Amino acid sequence: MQLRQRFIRDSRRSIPFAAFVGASLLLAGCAGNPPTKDMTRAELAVQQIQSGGTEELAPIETTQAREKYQNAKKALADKDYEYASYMAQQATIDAQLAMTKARSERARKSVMELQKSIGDLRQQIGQRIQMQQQQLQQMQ
Amino acid sequence: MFEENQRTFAGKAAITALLLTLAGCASAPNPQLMEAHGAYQQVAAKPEVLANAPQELDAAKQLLDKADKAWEEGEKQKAEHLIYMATQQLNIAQTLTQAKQYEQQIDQLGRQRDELVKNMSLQQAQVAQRQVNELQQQLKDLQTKRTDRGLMVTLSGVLFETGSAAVKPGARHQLDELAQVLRANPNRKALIEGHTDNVGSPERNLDLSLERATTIRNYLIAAGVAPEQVVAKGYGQTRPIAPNSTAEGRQQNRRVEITILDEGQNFPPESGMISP
Repeated sequence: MQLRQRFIRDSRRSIPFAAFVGASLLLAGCAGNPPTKDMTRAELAVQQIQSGGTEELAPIETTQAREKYQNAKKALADKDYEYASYMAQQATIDAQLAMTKARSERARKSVMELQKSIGDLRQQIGQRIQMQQQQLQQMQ
Repeated sequence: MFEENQRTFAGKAAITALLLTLAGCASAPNPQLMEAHGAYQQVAAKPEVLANAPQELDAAKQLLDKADKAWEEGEKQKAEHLIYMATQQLNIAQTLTQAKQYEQQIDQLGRQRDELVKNMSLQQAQVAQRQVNELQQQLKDLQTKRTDRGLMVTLSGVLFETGSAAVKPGARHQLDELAQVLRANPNRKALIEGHTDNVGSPERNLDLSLERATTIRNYLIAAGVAPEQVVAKGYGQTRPIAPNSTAEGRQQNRRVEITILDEGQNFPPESGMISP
């Protein structure tokens, strides 16, 4: 008997509690979950552009990616999950662009070096042919 | 008449309401979004981008579609974010295309350069061969052999008596011819290497071989060859070319080998026993 009464009293008391829990869940749902995946991806992408000369070859994109990752971290701390997700995604794509730019720049420099060495070689070969012809003329 | 006016008014109001409703449904176009679409159309029309970055281009298109949807649904911030993403993705597609084009160029240029290097070494070999031929002609009275270091001249016949470093008068003709060739080719260096038979102690033979090589060197210098053009080195009895068991073999081993190095070649580092 006592037990039953206590049960009723408890369940009655738990109604507002359940409502509170429900409301909190709803609110949490509205605010969304932390964008863990986006943050991990952004962190990896920003790490990748630290090395390999990306910073020198694509300075603007590298800086942008880093700043956006910092913004994402700040927004995450402020529980502004939507903005954190946007910033993390943008940091990732900026880093990807930085890497692609660096790749292109490296290739462009190699092309220029090759063109120069080909030019030098042609000149050397030409000079040698000229020298040989002069030698032949002197001998005749 | 009044009735008619009223009807027209009602009709006008209805149309206006309809238009307003339509306007509410389809949100006003976003200039940034239109610009992004325009940029996409331009890039997607380039065959080189289609060939080199089809996935990146496709990703940009998908982001644009998402941006359209977000804008239609009134999610302004999300739409702006997606427009940025689409624009950057489009940049990636273009930059990747450029990178791949440069990389293809690198392959082509690399092959071109290799071809030139090959031609050049071929040319070099031809020049070296011709120079050797010329030299061999000039040294027609001497016994010559092509080695990887240059042209080796073996002074034949009796140059020295056993145990002596003095040049025999009969060898002078060969040495004079050699001196003349070296004077005519001042940019070629000559390495003079002395050898002995195995008569006597190895130490004495080492000294003797160097003494003989030095004698030849001095002879050449006296005949007008530049001192920096010739170095002498002695090997003693360590490198026989014939058996020391016969008198004939021993005579062959008592020899001086003179290597006229290829043009532009310098003395090997260990050869500088007697040099200027």
